[in-house]
Amino acid sequence: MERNTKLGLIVVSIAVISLIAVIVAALSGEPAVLDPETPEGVVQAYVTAVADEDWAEVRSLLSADLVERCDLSELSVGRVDEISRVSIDDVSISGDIAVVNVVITHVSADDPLSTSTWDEEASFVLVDEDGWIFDEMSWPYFPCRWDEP
Amino acid sequence: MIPIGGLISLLIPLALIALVVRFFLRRTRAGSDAPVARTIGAIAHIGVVVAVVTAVRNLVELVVPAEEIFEDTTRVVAFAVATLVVAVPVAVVIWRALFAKSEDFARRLAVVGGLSISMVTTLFSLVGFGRGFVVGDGFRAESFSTLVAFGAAWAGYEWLRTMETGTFEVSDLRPTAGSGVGLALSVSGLVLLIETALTEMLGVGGEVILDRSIGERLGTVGVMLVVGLPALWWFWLRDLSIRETRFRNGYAAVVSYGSLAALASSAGVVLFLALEWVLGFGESTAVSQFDPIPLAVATGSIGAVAWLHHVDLLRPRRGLGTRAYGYGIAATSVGVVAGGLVSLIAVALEAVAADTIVETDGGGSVTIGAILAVGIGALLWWMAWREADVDLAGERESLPRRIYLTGLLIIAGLTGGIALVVALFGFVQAALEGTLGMDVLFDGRFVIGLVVTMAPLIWHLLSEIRSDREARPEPVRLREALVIAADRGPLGNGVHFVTRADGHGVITVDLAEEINALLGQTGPPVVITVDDDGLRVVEVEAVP
Repeated sequence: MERNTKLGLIVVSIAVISLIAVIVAALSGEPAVLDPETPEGVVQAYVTAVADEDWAEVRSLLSADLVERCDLSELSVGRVDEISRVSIDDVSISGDIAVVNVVITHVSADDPLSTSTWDEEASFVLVDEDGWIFDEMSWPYFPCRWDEP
Repeated sequence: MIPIGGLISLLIPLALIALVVRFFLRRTRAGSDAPVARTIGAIAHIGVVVAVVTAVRNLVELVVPAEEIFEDTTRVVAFAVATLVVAVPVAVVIWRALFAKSEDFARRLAVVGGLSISMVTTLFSLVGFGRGFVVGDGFRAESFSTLVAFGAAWAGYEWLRTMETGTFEVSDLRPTAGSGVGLALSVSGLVLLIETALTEMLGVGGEVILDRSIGERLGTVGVMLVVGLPALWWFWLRDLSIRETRFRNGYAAVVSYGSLAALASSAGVVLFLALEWVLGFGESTAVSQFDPIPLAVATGSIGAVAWLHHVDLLRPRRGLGTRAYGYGIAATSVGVVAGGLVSLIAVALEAVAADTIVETDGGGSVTIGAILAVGIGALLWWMAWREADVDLAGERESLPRRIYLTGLLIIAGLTGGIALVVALFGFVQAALEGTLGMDVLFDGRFVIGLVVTMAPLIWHLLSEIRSDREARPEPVRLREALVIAADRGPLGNGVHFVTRADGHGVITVDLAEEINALLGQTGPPVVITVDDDGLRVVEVEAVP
C-alpha cells in the first residue's frame, strides 16, 4: 500500500473515531438522581453539596452530634479539592449502619500534558435515624471539633 | 580602607575570570578550529537568552491583572532587573564575539536551539491559557505572561532564521521539536477523548453520582487538538516526514519505540485485568477491576496508530535509526522477559517452600503478570530480532547491535554474578550452621531466579558476540612501508602530502600516486626512498 494511502487511512480513522467519541461523550448527560431515601442517594446529595459549596445543605445531612461539632463557619473553611467525578464503588448495609465507598476523581488542569486523572477513595458511614444521615465525617477535611462537646 | 588580603582575594578571581574569558574568546572566534568550544558557546547563549526571556515573563506577569491580592512585587522586580542587567549584555557579547560574523554549525545551533525552546514553551503555554477558560479558571495570568514573552522570543528567532544562509543539518532541530510538540498534544488529546467516551459507554467507572468532568475534558481535548494538530501537520506531515534526514529517522525511531511500548503495555494491562478477573484473583467488584480499561484501550489504540505510521518511515532501509529502534525494543523485551521469568521462578520456589515455612496467597496475580510479561516480551523480542538480518552488510558491526550485546552482557553479568554470590553465601552459611532447609530456599527464591534467568541470557549474548567476531571480515593487511623523502624538491605545482601513518613527506602528485598504489598492495614491509632520480622501493629485509 502506498504511504500516502496509508496516511490517509490513518487520518480518516482517527477523524471517525474522534467524531464518534465526541458524540458519545457529549450525549452522556448528567448522572441520574438517586433515591434520597437510600444511602447512595444521601451520599450523592452530600458530594453534590460539597462540590457546590452549599454548606447549609451539607449540614442538613449530618447527625445531630456532628451538627453540634460543625457549625457553618467551620464547614465553609474546609479543604475541598476540585472534584470532577464521583462514582460509587461499593455499598454495604448492616442493620441501621451503611458504608458507602466512593471513588472521587480529580483532573489536573495545570500541565497541558498531564491529562491523566487521579482517584481518591473515600468511605462514608451513615446511620438510619428515620432516614440515612452521616454520623462520621471522613471526606473532605473539615476543621470541626472532634472532641465530645 | 580595603585591606591587602581583601584586595588580593578580589583581584585573583577577577584575573582568573578575565583569563578564562580571553582564552575562550580567542579559541572560539569565527573560523577557529574549536568546534567544541563554539558549541558550548552556542549552548551558553541559549541559556542566557532563556534567562532574559524568563525575566521579561516575570515582569509581564506583574502588569497583567490577576487574582492575587498580595504579591511581593519589589522582590520580583529586583530579581528580574538584576537578571536583565547581567544577562542582556552577556547575550550580546557572546553573539558579537562568536556568531555575528560567522556562518557555521555553532551559530545555527544557537539560533535553532533557542527557537525550539521558545516555540515549545509558547505552544504549551498556549494550551495552558486556553484550558484556563474551558475548565472554568478564566484568564490565567501565568500562562498569558509565558505566552507573550516566549512567543516574542520565538518570533525574534524566526526573524533571525530568515537571515541564515548555508545548509546545516542542525536546522532540522526546529521541525523535530515542532513535530514532537504537535504529536504530544495530539496524542494526549485523542487519548483523553477516547478514554472519556469509553468510560461513558462501558460504565466501568461505577455508578456515577456526580460528574463535572465531561465539559472540562472535551474542552481540554479541543484546546489540545486545536494547537497540536496544526503543529503536527506543519512541522511533521508537510516537512520533516517527507525528507529522509538523520533527524527524521532519529525522531521516527524514538516515537516508534515509545508508541510500541505504549501499545504493548496497554495490551498487557487489558489482558492482565481480564485474566485476573476470570481466574478469580481480581477486585471484589467489576467496577474496581476494570476501571483502568478505558485509559488502557485509548492509549493502546493511539499508540498503535502512531507506531504504524512512524515505523513505516523507518522500514524501507535498515539504517542507524531502524537498528536503534529494533535493538532498543529487543533490549527492553529481554528486560521484560527476564523480569517475568524471575517472578515465575520465585513464585514456584515460594509454592514449594511455603507449605513448611509460611502461608502465602499463592501469588495468583503475580503469576498472571509474570506469564504475560514473558509472553508479550518474547513476542516483541522475536519481532525485533528476526529483523536483525546478520547477512546484511554492516549489521554485525553496527553500533546499536554492539551496544545491545555488550550493554546487556554487562548488566546480565553483574546481576547474575551478584545474585550468584548472594545465593552461594546463603547456602554455604546455612550448610555451615547446619540449618539447610526449605527456609533457605524460600529466602533465596529471588536470587535463585536471577541466577537461573541470567545464565542462559549470558550464554546467548556471548554466543552472538562470538558469532559476530568470527563472521567479521579479516582486515586486509596493507603493506607496511617507511617513506623517506630524501629530496623534497621545489614546492611548486603538483606537490602532495602523503599522510599515511607509515610515513610522510612532500612529494609530487605522480610519486604520491605511485607510493599510494604500493601501500595499497599486500606484501612484505618496504622502505620507499624519494630523491632526484625518482622513487625506489627496497624490502626491509634487504636493507643492510
